[in-house]
Amino acid sequence: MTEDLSKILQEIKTKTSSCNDLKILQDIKVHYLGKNGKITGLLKQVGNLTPEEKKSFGQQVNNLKQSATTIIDERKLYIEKANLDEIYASEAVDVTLPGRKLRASGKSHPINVALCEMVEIFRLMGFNPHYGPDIESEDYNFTKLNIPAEHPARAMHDTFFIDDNDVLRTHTSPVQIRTMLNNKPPIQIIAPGKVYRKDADVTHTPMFHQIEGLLIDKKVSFANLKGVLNQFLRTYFGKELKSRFRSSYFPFTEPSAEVDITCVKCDGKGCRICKNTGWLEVLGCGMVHPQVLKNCGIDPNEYQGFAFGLGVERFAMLKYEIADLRWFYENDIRFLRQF
Amino acid sequence: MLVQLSWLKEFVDLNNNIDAILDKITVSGIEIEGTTKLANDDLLIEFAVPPNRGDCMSIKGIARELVGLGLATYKPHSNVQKYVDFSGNDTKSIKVQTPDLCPLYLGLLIKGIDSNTPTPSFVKNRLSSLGMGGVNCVVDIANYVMFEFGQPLHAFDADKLDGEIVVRAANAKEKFLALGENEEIKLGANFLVIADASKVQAVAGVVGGQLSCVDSNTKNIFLEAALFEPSGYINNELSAIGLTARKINKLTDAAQRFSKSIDPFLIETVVNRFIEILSSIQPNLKISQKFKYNGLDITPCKIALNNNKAREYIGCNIEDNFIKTTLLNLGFKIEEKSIGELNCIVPSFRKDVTNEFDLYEEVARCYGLDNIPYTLPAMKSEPILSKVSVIDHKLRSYFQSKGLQEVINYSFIAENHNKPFLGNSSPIVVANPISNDMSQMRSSLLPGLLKNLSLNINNYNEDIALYEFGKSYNRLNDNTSENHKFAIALTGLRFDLSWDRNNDKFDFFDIKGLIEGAIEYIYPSSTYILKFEVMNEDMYKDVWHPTRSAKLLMFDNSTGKQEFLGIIGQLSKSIGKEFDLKKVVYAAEIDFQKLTNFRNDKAVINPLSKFPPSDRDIALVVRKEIQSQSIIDTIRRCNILNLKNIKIFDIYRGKELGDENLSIALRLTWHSDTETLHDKDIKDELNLILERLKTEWGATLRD
Repeated sequence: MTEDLSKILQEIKTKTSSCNDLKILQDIKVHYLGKNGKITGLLKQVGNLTPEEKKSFGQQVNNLKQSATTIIDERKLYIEKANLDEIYASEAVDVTLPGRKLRASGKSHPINVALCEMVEIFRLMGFNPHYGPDIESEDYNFTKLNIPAEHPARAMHDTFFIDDNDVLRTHTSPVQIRTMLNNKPPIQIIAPGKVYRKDADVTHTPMFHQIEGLLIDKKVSFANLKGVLNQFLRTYFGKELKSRFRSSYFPFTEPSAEVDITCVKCDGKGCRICKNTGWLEVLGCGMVHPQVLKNCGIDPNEYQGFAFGLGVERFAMLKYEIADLRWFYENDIRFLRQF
Repeated sequence: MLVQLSWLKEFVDLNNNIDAILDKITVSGIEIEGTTKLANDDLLIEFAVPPNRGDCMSIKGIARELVGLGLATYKPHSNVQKYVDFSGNDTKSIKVQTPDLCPLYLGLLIKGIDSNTPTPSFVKNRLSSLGMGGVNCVVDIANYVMFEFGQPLHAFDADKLDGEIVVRAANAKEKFLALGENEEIKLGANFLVIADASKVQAVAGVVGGQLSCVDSNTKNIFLEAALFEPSGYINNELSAIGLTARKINKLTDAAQRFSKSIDPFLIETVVNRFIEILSSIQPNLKISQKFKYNGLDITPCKIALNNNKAREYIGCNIEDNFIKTTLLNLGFKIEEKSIGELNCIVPSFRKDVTNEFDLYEEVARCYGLDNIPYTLPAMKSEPILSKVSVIDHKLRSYFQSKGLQEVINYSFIAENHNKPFLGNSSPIVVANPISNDMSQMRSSLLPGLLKNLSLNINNYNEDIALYEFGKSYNRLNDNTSENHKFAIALTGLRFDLSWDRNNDKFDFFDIKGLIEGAIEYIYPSSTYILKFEVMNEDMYKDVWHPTRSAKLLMFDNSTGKQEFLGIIGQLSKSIGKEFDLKKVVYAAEIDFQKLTNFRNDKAVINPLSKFPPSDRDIALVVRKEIQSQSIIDTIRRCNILNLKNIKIFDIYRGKELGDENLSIALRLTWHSDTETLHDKDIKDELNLILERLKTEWGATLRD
């Protein structure tokens, strides 16, 4: 009988190892282990044996059952895995074919990228954006900013006129005026937006974008202005940036300054872009002129403030080393997609 | 302003090498725009003198500034010899009708001149490196002296003048022939002029006249050395040298100096310097008569300076001694009231300094702005999270994710490109446009986008999807308005060229879907309903394809408010021609302001149902002119509580339906929050719907 058992085991091993089909394997399983299977049959016989035989033979049949089950289950796993590999092989894709994007993502216009980054820096520093109209009164664009009609500074701005009293704003400074007229200090704002000057060449477009800032409070100093602008410039251009403050003149600030940064192209050694000076002018700033405060109903003996203004195109031009500013407004997608 | 280094060195010795000095003067307020090497180790330096620093518009002025900044030391300079003195009784008075504009006028009748005498070579050489000179010795020397001291002089041919000189306002009928011109110009009633008994002979401070110019026959001259104020009033009308010069297009060296103000105490010196040089080549010259008008207020400007206030304002601990020394160096006189309290008397050449803030600036720039520390102010304003800007960012990123490229166009547009988009508003015209292509303010964002499409198609990029955010500028009944909008334009392939899809082109439903999707994105599960209506108005036909475009209306279910947001669709064939677009273009322009005014961007979160949904597909046959929306509206009006979703999944046209019909297939989804729905209930409700559709639209089920 024991011989029979080892024969059965050998049989199962042989049949199973040559089986590659789950269905046939199932048949084998049923044949030996099913309700009417060979091994099941042997187990049924155990009841008829003597207690001694029962113990030893029962043990052996149970071992056989265990082994058979293990062999068949292992084979099952093996066949399943082999089948899966086959399925996978049949489902192969060419992974080098282009991915399906429907459309490649669009992008922000580079000027908006630059503008948003700058606005974000100033927002993080506590300056909230304010906005105003593009068509602005001469009073807000010039007169209230301490630029009367005969002031030579008006000759600096090549102004577009809409009618006798209205111009296309030449800077976003009128937003400062509007804010000061409508709010009590402390004031901490930036004014981003489009501005217009009658000028067109590789470094000028008749429309461009500015961000101006204004801070009015008690005990504000020129050193505060330096602190704010230094943080801004280092955040935008990188911590290694060197800058200098150069005394300058604007009718609406005093003291006035222009800020230069080391030339991004030649790193200060001198090149065509920086006209061999090693420096690039990037923004104008100063303490708000007391007359401007007075014009807006703010007492210059109680409050002081600073203001600054920068051209977004110029920053973008420097950051991306763009040779001709006018490219920004041609909107050739071959250009725009590179950003 | 150009300056030769050798000329400057006649006045001062430099305290450092020239590069260091130019760097320092640049950061101190007078920027060096460039330098050119000249022969004999000389250097031509271009200074950008700011408009408030008229005192630096000369060699003498720059020298004084260098000394003030401690960059140079005065040479022991032999003073200009006094050839003429205007203080005696032998000086005749001159008639000045506008003393506010001309507080000082000196005149000199000089006889015995041979204007053909060659200009002294040092004058000639220096003028020529400034690109000037070569007129005649009188004019050349006058110019030389102006560059040296900043005081413009004018020489008239005395024999061509009719009687005595008068300074007065022009009258509007007068005409004037300027030096070097062929045609007379009209004068303005606010022009200050120098006239004789019969005619205007010069526009004061700007340009002399051809009639009385010094030429090769000149024997006697009338030399004018005057102080003209940069601006003032004539009969309540503004009169300013700068404005006058710009008006007659004569931004002369004289006008540039007078418009920035002149040192009144230098005038006599300059006259003497002129005679000094002229007499060196004209031994026979004779001063025949002196003229003078003096209405000058010589009270100096006195400003109180509190050093502590200055330090606070600058934000830097600058010592009392530095402040005092700096101001003294710059030519201020100082009275020390107490420690740190000064009275500063402004030198006559610094007309720009009028209050204590001007003094702070002087101290700060001499201290060096770079030496002031960086400190941060206390930030006190509350952060603002503007809903409009949140929506703005969301929309932009939505369009980008859908593959649309952002563009920014000029606010200007050509008249012919603006016209079709004006609707019932009138254009806003730029009075002085930079070019005809940019003569009006855009009344729509679309023409800019269409120009972009045209350019890109011409550059062989034919599949384009663009968006722009910006303002349009409109004028209605004399009211100008600036309206925030966004616009989209699509042309070419819907998706990138692909290996496994139909490479279809954009159509109406792409533009519609983009706009619907955008609004659903910014207003999730809101109570807003979008309506697309066919346009019947003629005024839209110029721009839009009449049967493939629609007005977009947004309706707020909770308030009953309805807004016209814009138009979407295919552009008309005539617009295609106008913009040279041979391709079909789909576009939309939406009023961003009105869209954001709805502002209900809070998502309403519904609990999730635990029960399964149940779909029913129906295919209806209806007359083809019936709009799909009306079918859906009818179903909605059945008010079936558990009917949660209606989707169109097929439109079919076929012979078996007849030419006048089409089939529309709908998937209706029932879904309850509280129970599993029974087939019978759904069946009953579906029958109700079908009946209603049959009654209202004659819709039948397709076999």
